[in-house]
Amino acid sequence: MSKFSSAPSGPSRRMFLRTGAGLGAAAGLGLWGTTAQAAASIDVVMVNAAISGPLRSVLEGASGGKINDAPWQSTTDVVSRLTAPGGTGRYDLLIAGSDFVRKPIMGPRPGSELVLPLDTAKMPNFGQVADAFKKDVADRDGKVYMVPVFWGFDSVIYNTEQMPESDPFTQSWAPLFEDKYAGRIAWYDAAHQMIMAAGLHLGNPKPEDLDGKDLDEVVRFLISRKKNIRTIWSTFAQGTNLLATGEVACLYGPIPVRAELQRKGFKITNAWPKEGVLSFAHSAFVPRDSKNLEASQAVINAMLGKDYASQVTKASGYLSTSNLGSQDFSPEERKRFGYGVLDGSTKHHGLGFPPAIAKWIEGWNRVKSA
Amino acid sequence: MSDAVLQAGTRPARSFAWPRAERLRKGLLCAYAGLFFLFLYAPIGLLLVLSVNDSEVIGLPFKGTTSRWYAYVLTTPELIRALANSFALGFVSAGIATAIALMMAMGFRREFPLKGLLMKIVLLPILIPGIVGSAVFLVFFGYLEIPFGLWTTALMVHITWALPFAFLTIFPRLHGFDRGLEEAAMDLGATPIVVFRRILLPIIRPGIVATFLFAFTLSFDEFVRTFLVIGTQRTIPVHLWTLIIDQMAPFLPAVGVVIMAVSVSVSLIGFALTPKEK
Repeated sequence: MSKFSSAPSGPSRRMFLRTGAGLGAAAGLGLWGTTAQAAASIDVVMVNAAISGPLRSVLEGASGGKINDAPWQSTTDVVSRLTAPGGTGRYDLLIAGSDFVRKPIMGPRPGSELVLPLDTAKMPNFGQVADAFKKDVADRDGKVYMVPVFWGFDSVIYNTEQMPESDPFTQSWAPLFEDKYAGRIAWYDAAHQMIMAAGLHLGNPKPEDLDGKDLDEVVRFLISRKKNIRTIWSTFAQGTNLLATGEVACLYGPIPVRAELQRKGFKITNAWPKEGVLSFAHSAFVPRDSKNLEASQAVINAMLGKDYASQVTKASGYLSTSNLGSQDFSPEERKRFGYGVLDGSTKHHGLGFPPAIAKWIEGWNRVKSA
Repeated sequence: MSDAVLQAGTRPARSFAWPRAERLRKGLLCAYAGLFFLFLYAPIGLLLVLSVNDSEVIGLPFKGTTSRWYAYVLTTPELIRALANSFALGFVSAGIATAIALMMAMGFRREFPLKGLLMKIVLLPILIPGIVGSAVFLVFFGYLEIPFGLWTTALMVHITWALPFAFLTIFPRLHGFDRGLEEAAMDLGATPIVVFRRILLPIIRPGIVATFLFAFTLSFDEFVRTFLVIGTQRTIPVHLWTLIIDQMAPFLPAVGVVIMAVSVSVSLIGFALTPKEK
């Protein structure tokens, strides 16, 4: 008799079937859970700060369900997610930089849009979009596909203990490039933004059109000024910490950096460069195969409504594209937050999308490796 | 004779000079090793210090001791959820990767056509840069219309990532296994399944545990391949990324310490379960 004859005979066919059935049931439950959840929630990709704190409850209240926000990386990333195979059915609402996304989402001709037309009749706050942002509304054949929901701007953000606000030098892009604050400057690791700022500083009226020799001149200028910088920052946490610790006196930064540091009591403010701050808008659009158009429209409408629009600036540093956004602010607050851009009292330049972006990226890489 | 004289003559000189040179060599070696370990572990020590620094910024100077960052980490639902997701995904993906690696390793003990080529294919995910792999998965899952999620796409990505490492860990154990034991069992009438359960498995169990733990740590720390395919859910590395790109997040060092503690604990368990050489 075999020594092993009394031993358990190992996994039987029945056991395999049982395990398979269990896994199938689990997978089925998982899918059911996903489907059941989808009916009550929408999946969005947007700047995380724009749905943080009290802003989330405002938007969830409007959509009537939960908002699942995917991790935000960049506008480029949003376009990649949308244009990847199957990308038009993965999310219900996407919000990203207007200038950059307009072309890829609208496609070259009618019918090639990657997004759904929005029913503005169901978005009563659509009429509140400020005149300054009407250009960011993407429409075709009378249908609206993309609506600007919040905006912001980039500027020189600086520590007032190291750079006095009264210094006229600070009210320009110069601190980032000139010798005065050498060794205490941080640049932002973004080709688009840094070349735009340098172009403005060098007196180019439309830096977004830089190409060829003109672009090369700006790149060479940046390389010549690289000796003045302490570092090139890439994440919000890095930028804010550089300023807060005093490691740098100023940096190129988006306005939420200033907002966060001021909220925490640091003596930080931003310059209002005579060449203009670099402004940008983020617009909302609904991917073509989304099953939650109604809820997504409700969220867009809520973002233009008073509850959200009046809170977004203090909560995130971004500003509302809605006329309702700054109604409750005092003139001093409006100026400080940047709403002067809307009435023309603050000079700004749109962070337009450069047609030669590939050359810009190549040029910026030259700057970084120089 | 002359050689002997020469040797006799040089010996005292050499024995006199040797200790000084040896002392110098040892000193330099110690300094090098000290610097090596300083560069290796000082950042970890700094992370520990910053995690209890009572400051709104991540950095020095040290402004007093606080446990509030740990309290924040352990009481914030999003962080707890991300941590739980990482644990769950790590356990499941490590379990599946280890099981597949074990089966493959058993198969690779035999000779078969294109074995060398297949081995290279198995190890390919190690060679593909993370960001490239991530984009490939994004496109692949898109064509297959697989919904993004922790238990769909992220699980597959983590298994694919951990599998070659699991295979490399477990294959040497099986390769060096004494086939005579299996043959002896079969001579006594054991079926292949019984041989596996009663002979092979008990002997290689420590290797399986070590493989599982290694695969778990790989999954737990994975970010690049996960980011694009996890949809709206978050593992702890993905959640950390979302924090650092739009927050000052002074609690980040505390999160780092918690993650490190998990990885170190898993490694220690692995060491404890690995049989000692006698």
